[in-house]
Amino acid sequence: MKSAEHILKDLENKLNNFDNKPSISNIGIVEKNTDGVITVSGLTQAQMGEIVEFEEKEKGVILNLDEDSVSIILLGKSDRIKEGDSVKSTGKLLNINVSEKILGRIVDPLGNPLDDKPKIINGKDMPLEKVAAGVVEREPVNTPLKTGIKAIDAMIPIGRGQRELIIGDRGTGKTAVAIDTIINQKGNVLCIYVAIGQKRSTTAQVIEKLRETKALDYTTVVNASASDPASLLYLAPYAGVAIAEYFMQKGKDVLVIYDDLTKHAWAYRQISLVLRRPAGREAYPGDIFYLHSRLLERAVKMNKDNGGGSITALPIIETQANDLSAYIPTNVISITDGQIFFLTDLFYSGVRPAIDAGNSVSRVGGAAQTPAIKSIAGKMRLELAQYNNLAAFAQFGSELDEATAKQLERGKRTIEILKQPQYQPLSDAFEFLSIWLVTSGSIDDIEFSQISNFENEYHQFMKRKYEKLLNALSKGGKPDEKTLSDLEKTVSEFKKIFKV
Amino acid sequence: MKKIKNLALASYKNGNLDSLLVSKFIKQLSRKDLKIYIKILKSIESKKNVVLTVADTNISGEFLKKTKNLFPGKEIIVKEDKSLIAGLKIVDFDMVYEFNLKNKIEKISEFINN
Repeated sequence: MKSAEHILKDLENKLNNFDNKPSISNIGIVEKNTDGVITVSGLTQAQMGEIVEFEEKEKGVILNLDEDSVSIILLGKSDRIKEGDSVKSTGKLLNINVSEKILGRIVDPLGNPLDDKPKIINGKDMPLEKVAAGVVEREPVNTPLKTGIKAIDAMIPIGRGQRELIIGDRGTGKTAVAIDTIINQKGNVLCIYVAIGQKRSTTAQVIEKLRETKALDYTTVVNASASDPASLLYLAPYAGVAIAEYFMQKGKDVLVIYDDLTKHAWAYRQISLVLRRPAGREAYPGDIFYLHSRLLERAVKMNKDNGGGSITALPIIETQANDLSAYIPTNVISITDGQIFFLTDLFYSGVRPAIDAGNSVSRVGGAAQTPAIKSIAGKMRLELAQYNNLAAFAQFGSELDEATAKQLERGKRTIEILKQPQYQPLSDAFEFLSIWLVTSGSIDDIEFSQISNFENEYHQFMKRKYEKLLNALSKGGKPDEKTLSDLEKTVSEFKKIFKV
Repeated sequence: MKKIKNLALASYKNGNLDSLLVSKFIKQLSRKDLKIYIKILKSIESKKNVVLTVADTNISGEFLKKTKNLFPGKEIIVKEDKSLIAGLKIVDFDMVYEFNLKNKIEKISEFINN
């Protein structure tokens, strides 16, 4: 508790810094209020994206500048605004106040707390709209961002500063992968989870999971739920990236998850239609591509001269009936550096995470993969591709030659080993061990139904008895012949004690 | 909208609203268009005037002359508003200049609250 003397001194300091200039303001008069979009006459000095203040202290953002009027989207409730009300320009562009204290907090896109904790003040005002870093300030993606998910880290590796799309139908585990990735970033990467148009109950579950796993300590949740105005849904991802930029400028690595950009596109479509902007394909406005490209361009890996921080973006897109060729999915696929495609059929056949390896790709992450994983992942991907080809043909013939049968069996085992329970991301060393088990043929003689058990117990066995070997593997270097032969010995030893 | 705007601009002769032209034009307009026409005329008129609100109307002629020089070609309308406490407020279409005690107190209170 501050003393009276302290408070008075504080006030005196404030008064010393008080701007005593006469106030000059640009005003307008409300002409129309249609579904949260206000048409105002006057405001001749206003600029695009400027914040305006209504009589009732509600705030809005200018989105259209016409000859005699401006169109404003409201950032709050629209029912109190009526014709004839005056509107005052503030001269400020949209920004969010960010400080280190924002970690562990749940805020709305304007930075207002949603977690009953005090509002963040005295931080740095970060602009929501900003031109992305230029070519000179960047460097190629070269550091891995480990998700802790075997299938992703081995086949579709993500690098820091990359934009990797997570795409699939509803209920296929897209958010689960994103949450697993956040959980796996402890101590390495700060995280921003942007919930756009999600049910509040869903977001509450995510927050609870993050809290449970202690991942909320290094995560900020920006929430614009389904019941919030479309304007807040539209601004949410920009608020997320603005927070990420604050930490990135301090040289930190940040991961931003936009869950999901389909709903973001819907919100922007709604705003654009009310603003009477010409509608294009699927009634989306002409600048829907720019909406997402300018957001995802802000994902960056800065070079050493510019702090060396990074922003990795994992946007999520929801498809309808696994259709990748719809408007928004194709747009975002073309913007991002790869996509992880989730299939409903795989999900319901028990392959979880339900990643369709054939349609998933990482265009730049390979450069960031550790030599250890790289040395075994290539073989696994090849075996999986061969399996997928053969599996289609094998359905027609009953008799298969030995080599084909062997390839099919190996493929099945590869798929089995890539299965992973939710909220259990693996460390580098364990990921290597699991993939090595299948690619080296060490589990070819293990009963198919026991593969998962064998894998888990082998991990525990290694942790108990061969910690040094695990530490060597976790360094990420390509394992030499001796290490590999040591590993083979450990498997033989473990097989002797493994009980079905 | 553009046509009605042109019509509204054409209703002026030597910078003044011409009643003959106005009565001629409004015969051609529907109710909806007439509403827009009136709105545009109001907007044009408000651009021609500057409202000077003072706490006390007892102001010198010299001061009025100086104010007029600041806004050439515009008519100065003087209004009284005791709530300003002291000083004045100038409204030039959509620009508001506040030089009064009420605004200053409001600014201080807002500053402290923040």
